[in-house]
Amino acid sequence: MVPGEVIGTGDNRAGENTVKVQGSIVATRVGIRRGGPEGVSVIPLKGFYVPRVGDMVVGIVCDVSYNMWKVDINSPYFGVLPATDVFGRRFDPTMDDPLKQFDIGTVLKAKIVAFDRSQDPLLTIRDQDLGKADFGFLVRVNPSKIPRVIGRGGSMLSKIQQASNSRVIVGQNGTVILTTSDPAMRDKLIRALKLIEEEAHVYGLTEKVVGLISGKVEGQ
Amino acid sequence: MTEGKTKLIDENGLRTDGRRPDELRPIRIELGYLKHADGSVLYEQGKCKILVAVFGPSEVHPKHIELPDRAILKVRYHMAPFSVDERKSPAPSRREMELSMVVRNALEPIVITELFPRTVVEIFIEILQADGGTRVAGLTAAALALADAGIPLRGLVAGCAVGKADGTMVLDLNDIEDKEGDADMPIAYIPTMNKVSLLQMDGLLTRDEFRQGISMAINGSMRTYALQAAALKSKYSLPENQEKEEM
Repeated sequence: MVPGEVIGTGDNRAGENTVKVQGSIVATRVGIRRGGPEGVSVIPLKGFYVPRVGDMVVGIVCDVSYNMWKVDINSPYFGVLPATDVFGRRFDPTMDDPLKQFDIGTVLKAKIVAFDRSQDPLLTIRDQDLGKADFGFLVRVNPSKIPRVIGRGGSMLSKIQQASNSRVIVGQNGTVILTTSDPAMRDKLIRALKLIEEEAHVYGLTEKVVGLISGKVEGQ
Repeated sequence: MTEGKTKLIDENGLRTDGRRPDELRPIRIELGYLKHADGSVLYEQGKCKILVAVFGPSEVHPKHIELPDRAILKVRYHMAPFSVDERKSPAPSRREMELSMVVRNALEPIVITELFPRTVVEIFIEILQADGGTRVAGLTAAALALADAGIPLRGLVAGCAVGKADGTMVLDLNDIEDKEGDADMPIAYIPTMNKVSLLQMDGLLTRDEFRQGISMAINGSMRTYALQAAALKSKYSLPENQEKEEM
């Protein structure tokens, strides 16, 4: 599907990445058509990250002010992490120093708690497995390919972790943290992620990715 | 405009470059031409060579120009100093500023700006080599680069110029037809919406010629649109049986 291509009639419900134009439903992005009882939609093959409440994202602190951190979450909108969320109480400028907590460049795992397009996404680190990422290697994947990196019910991600024997933290915003300390495995994982990005819609991708990581298939 | 200059249509009814009056110049599209841009294309139409890069949506600077309900589009149409016969000053000229605005106005109906308010989408159109019809070729290429960047669009916009050379209506004017012809009318058309998003005219046409010109330009735009869609599909799509895996 390309933008403007008709994917359904007006009787269908217009799903994600579609719009009604003059009685027809047309695709708004380059992608693959998906039809079902819930309506027609398009799975985009390229796109940018639009924050959604509940998403786990990996961001980099890009600005620190007296009561909040501004976090680059690979989106048109910067994430805002309030100091009250980090300190767990009312922020006291005489006692608390945000810079000591998270300096510019710190990588954070956070969750989006509020976002309504009229204001920047509000982040929290007060949940399990959230907070500062102390160790790892950051890789950017096109955000539209993240569902494929995770796989149905997390199948692809768990197979990648099993095959590499390391933890891979995937942010919905397209930023991935590789925690392996082995440089050879790190390179294999990067190649695997690029392979998923390029061949997200190809059959037998999981086996190819697992083969690449476990060294049975020659990397690209 | 004047007679007795270059013969634009020969005795066989062919044009200076051997085309029939309703024939487009050959079009070549290379999507994703630039590594660092979010979306890009190298677009060639005859001797015209145009590079378009798209960035965004991203934060707006300066902040006061952002809009609370939609994104803004910034378009820069720029001709390289080496794009024309005589060196052109690299500074933006009055014509380039006007064309940037014209192209932006022609793109605005297709971009669903309401989906990402308070942001900006920047479109850079660099004319590397000019040979007539650069505004519509730039616009056609910009629509492709926007689709390549994953910006939500209501459809693609395709442009085509039409004009009059030696009393004959001709499609997709080249430089000499543009300069020495009797009239020049660039048109951009959105096939999905069946709407014209750009129409300008320089020179004189009768009502009948104008109607014929519109029809020819829409026909030419439809052919260009088919090439745009094919280029996007060939970059992103694979055969039908490979597209079924759930993502």
